Amino acid sequence: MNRYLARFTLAQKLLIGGAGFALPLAILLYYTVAGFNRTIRDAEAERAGLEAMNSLRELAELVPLHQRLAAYDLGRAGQAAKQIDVAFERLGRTRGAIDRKLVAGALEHWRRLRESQGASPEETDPRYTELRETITRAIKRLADDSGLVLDPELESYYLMQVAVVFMPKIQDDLADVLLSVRRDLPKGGGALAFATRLSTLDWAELEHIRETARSATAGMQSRIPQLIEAHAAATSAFLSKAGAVNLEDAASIEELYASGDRLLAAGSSLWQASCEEAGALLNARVAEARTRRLVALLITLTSVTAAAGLMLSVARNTVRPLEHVAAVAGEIAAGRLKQAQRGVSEDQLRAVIGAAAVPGWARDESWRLLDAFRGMCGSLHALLGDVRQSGVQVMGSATQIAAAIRQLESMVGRQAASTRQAEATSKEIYATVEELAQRMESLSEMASDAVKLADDGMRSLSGITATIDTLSQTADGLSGVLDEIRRQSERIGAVVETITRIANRTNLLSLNAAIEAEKAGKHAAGFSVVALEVRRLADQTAVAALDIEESIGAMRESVQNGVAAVEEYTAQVRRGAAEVSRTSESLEHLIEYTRKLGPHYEAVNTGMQGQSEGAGQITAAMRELSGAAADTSSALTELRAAADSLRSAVAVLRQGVARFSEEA
Amino acid sequence: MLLLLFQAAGQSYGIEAGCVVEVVPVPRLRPLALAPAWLAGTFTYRGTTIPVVDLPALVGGAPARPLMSTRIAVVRYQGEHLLGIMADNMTETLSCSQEELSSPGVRMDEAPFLGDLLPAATGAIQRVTVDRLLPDEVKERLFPDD
Repeated sequence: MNRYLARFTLAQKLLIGGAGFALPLAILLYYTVAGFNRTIRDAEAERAGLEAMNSLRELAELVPLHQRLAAYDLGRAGQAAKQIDVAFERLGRTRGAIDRKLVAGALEHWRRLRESQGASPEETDPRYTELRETITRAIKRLADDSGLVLDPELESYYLMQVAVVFMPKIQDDLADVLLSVRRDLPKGGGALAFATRLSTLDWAELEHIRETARSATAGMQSRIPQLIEAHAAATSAFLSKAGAVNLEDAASIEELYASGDRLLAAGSSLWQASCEEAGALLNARVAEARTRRLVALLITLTSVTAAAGLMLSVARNTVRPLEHVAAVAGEIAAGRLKQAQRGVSEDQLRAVIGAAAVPGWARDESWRLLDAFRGMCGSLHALLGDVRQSGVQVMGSATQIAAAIRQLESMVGRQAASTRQAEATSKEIYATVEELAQRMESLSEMASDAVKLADDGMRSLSGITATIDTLSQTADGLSGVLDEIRRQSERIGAVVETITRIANRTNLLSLNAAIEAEKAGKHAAGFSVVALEVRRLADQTAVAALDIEESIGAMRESVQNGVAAVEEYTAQVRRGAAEVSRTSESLEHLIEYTRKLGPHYEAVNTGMQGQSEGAGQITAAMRELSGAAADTSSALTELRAAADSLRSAVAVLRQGVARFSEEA
Repeated sequence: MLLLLFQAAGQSYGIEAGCVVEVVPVPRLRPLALAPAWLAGTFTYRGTTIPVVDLPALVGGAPARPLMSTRIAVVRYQGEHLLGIMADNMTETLSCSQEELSSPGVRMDEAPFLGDLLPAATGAIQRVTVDRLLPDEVKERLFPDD
C-alpha cells in the first residue's frame, strides 16, 4: 500500500483523501435530497388531487340538487345546470390524477340529461343515478390515485378520511332522502318510501365522521369544530322535524325539506372546509419539506467547500515549505552553504509560508521544520569551521609525531649501545661472583675453628661457677652463727627485764613499808630503816640490770653490723655467681650462633653460585634486548610511514572541507 | 614528817605520807568522758572505784609518762574519800621536820594545793596538800553525796 502511495505527491494524496471523503458525502446528500423531493412530489400530487376533488365535490352536490329541482323549480335547476357546466369545465382543466375516461363518461351522461329537458322523472332518474355513480367512482379513483386515502401524515389523514370517504357518501344519501321528501311525501302513501329512505341514512356513521373530524382538530385548522357543531345541530333539527312531520300538511313537509336542505348545506360547508384545511396542511408540508431540503443542501455544500478550502490551504502550506527545504538541501549538497543559509533566513521563511511574524507557540510543523533546517545549516557551518581547524591541528600533530619518531629512533640507537655496554658489565659481574664464592668457602672453615675455641672457654667457666657456689655456702654458714648470737643476747635481755621488774616491785614494797612505818610512829623506826635499806638494794639491782642492758645493747649492735656485712658479702658472691652464669650463657649463645653459622655459610655459598648463574642469564637477556632494539628500530620505520599516510589523509580531508568554503 | 616524793613537769613535789593509803603500779584506767585533761580516769581499788588525778597535767605540764617508776598514790581525800594521784618517779620518801619548810612567796589562786617549799640538794621540793587538790565543782561532780 505504502509502495503505491509513495508514487504520488503530497497534493495528490490529499486530493485522493478528499475524494474518499467527498464521495460518500455526495451519495448521502443525494439520498437525503431525493427523500425530500419525493415528499414534495407526493404532497403536490395530493394537492392537485384535492383541487380535482373540489370540482368533483361540487358535481356530487349539484347533480342531486338538479335532480330534485328539475321537476318543479326550473329557474334554480337552470342555475344548478350552469354551475354543473362550470364544474365540468374546471374538472377538465385540473392537473390532478383524475380518471379522464370516467370524467368523459360523466360528461356524456350530463349532456344527455340536459338534452332530455322536460322528460318525466322516471325517464331521467336512471340517468341521474348513473351520473351520480360515475361521479362517486371518479371520487374514489381520484382518492386512490392521488394517495389521498393513504396519506402518510396523521394530521391530514383524518381530514382526508372525512373529505374523501365519509362526506361523499353521507351527502349522497341525504340527497336521496331529500329527493324522497320532495317526491314521495306529497303523495299519499309515500310515507313508507320516505321512511325506507330515511332508514338508509346511517346516523352512527355520521357520528363517526364527526369524531374523526374532531380528532383532526388538534392541528392548525380552526373552522372545523364550529362546522361540526353546526352540522350536528342541523342533523338533530332535521331528525326532530322528520319525527314530527304531518303528512297531510304541505307546509310541514316543506319545513322538513327546508331543514334537510340546511343539513345538506351544513354538510357541504363541512366537506368544503375539510378539503380546504387538508389543502392548507399539504401546502404547509410542501413548504417545510422545501425548507429542509434547502437547509440540508446549504449545510452540506458549505461544509464540503470549507473542508476543501482548508485541505487546499494545508496542502499549499505543507508542500511549499517542503519544496523550499528540498531546494535548500540541494544547495547544501552542492556545497553552497552560504546560499542555503540565506534560503532559511527568517524573512525568507516568512515569504515562503506567506505569513507575517508568527509567535513561537503558534508555529506549525512546517515552521518547526524550517527552523530546524536553519539550525542545521548553522551547525553545519560551525562543524565545517571546526573540521577545518581540526585538519590544521591534525596536520601539525602529524608533523610533531614524525619528529618524535625521529627522536625515538636515535634514542633506540643509544639504547642498543647501552645494552651492549651492560652485557660487558654483566660478564665482569659474573667473574667477580665466582671469586666471591671461593672466599666464602674459606670463611666457612674459619667459623668451625671458632666453635672449637668457644667450647674450651665453656669448660673453664664451669670450674669458676663451682668455686663461687662453695663461697656462697660458707657465707650462709657464717650468717647462721651470727643469728645464733642474736638469739642468745635476746634471751639475756629477757632475764635482765625480769631482774628490773623484781627491783621495781621491791622498791614499791619498801616505799609502802616506809609509809606504814611512818604511820606506826616511833615503834616502827627500826622497820623504817630496814625498809630504806631494802629500797637501796633494789635501786642497786636496778642500776646493775641497767648496765647489763647497756652491754647487751652494744653487743646486739655489733652483731647486727656483722650480719649486715655478711649479708652484703653473700649478696656480692651471689651477684658474682650470676655474672659468671650470664657470661657462661652468652658464651653458649655465641657457640650456638657460631655452630649455626656453618650452614648459613653453605647457604651463602649456594646463593653465590645462583648469582653467578643469574649473571650468565643476565648476559643472555642483554643479548636479546639488543635484538629487540633492532626490531624496535624497524617498527619505528613503519610508524613513520603511518605518520606520513596520516598527513596525506588530512590533506584529503582539508580538500573536502575546502569544497564547502569555496562557494560565493 | 615523811614526804612521798615524785616529779611533775621537771620539778620535785612531795605529799605527806600520813594521808597515803598505798602506792600501786598504774593499772588500766577507764577514761572519764568530757572530763578535764588532768582527770586521768578511774580504777577499782579493793572493790571501790576511785578517780585518778594526773598531777603533771594538773600543774600545767605534759601528762604522766607510761614508765615503770610512774605510780599511783592512793590517798585519803578530806578524811573520807579515796583519790588516786598519778606522777613520775614515785620511788623515794624523805623525812623532814616542819621547821625546815619555808613559804614559797607566791601563791596562785588557781593552784591552792601547792604548799611550802623544802630546800634539798637536787632542788626545792614543794609540798602538795591533798585536801585542796580538787576545785569545788569537780569535787561535787566526783563525790556528789557530800
